[in-house]
Amino acid sequence: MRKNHHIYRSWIQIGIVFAFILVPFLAMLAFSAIADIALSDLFSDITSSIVRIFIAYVIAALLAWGCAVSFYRGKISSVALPIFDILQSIPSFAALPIAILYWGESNFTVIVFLVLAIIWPIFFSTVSSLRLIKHDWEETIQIAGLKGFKKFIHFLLPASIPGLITGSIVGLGEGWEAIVATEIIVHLHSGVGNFFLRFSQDTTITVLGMLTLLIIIFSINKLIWLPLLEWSHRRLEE
Amino acid sequence: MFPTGRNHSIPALKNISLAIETGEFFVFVGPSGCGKSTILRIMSNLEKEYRGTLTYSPDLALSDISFVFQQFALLPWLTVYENIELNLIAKNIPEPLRRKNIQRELKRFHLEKFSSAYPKELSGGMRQRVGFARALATDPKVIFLDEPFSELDSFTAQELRKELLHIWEEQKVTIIMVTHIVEEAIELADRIAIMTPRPGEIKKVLRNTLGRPRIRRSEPFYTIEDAIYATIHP
Repeated sequence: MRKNHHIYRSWIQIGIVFAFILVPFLAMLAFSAIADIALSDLFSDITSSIVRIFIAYVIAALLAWGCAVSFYRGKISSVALPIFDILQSIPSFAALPIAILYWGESNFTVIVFLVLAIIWPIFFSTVSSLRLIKHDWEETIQIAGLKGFKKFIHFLLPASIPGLITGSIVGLGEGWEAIVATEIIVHLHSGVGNFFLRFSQDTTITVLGMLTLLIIIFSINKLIWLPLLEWSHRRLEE
Repeated sequence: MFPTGRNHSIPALKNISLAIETGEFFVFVGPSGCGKSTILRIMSNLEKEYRGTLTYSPDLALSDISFVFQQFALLPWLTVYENIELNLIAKNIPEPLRRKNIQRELKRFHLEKFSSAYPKELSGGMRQRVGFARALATDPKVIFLDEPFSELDSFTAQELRKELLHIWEEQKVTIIMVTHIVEEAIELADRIAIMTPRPGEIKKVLRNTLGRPRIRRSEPFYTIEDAIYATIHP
């Protein structure tokens, strides 16, 4: 990695970064005061949701990336890609009530459905970035005789990172959408879904809660994903 | 074969029969669309969709082959050093030997100062030097070159052609090159295959016995040049 790839170009940017860390906390603080909820309750709800999303994201990203690298090209892709296209069209949330019957009102159920929501944008975005690999690069790898694991590490991984990151941003957006709904339906006793369920009678708190969540998600994007996206594109610039 | 639609294809090349000697400098010359790049890709095993047979001499393995690309084909996320190293890693060459070979090539192509630079920071000429360095670092027996000078300014091209000739004379490698520039073919080649398009055919294989170094502005040079143009446009 090049050392002069500054993400923080100046003090102003460091200030902006601090603001993005500070504002969500202030928003939570203000919200807990207005809604008259203990800050610790609010914090633990948000944290448990973030942990669930994080676990689901790691599983989804590994699966999606593995499948994308295995099926992006060749004879197998003409069979596999239509199958994946059908799979992603399945309205999986219709199976949520049945899943609760089998797996109970558990973290496991929530995470499975989160994975199903997050995985597809990552998969398709990674596949498309792999299919757009320059023919020249592939010939280089072929002439070098790079195969198997080495090809994975030195070629397919770096070449697929922009797609992986773009897909992650979209996938996590869907993940946040899905987690509120899933936690409400699964009746977990923690998480933002549970929070919104508890205050379902109160429009003000619901709206303010959505606003706070928005600020948090936006800050995470701004702090983590957008710099990663920029970095990954800069790496592949010629 | 180039597919031209459902169930139809037209041959990119037709009736190609050719033997290339060890240590030879062989050049294919012809206008665009004559299939010269395709022939190079078939011979270097990059292109596998063809009808016919391709035989290497028994002492030649696929790992003895290198390729220099027209558009350099450097991987943008790797530094100059790492781009050269990738071919050596693929061939399981141990790290000390890798370093030694890379340093040798960096020196040869005056790239020492740029070993940790990324391709996008280099000019076209520098990038193609990296392309050459990468091709040579594995000590190949055969080097294929696909219009390696056509993206470069004429000064850099001239310099690299000289360097290439020097390497060829010194290391006794076999060089098989494609170009659309007739003068370049005459300057470099032992034998020149003159190709014409639709379908891609070898019209004539010309032996070039001019002594080296070859002077472009000379009577014998012009004679060969005329003969080549006459073959392409009779």
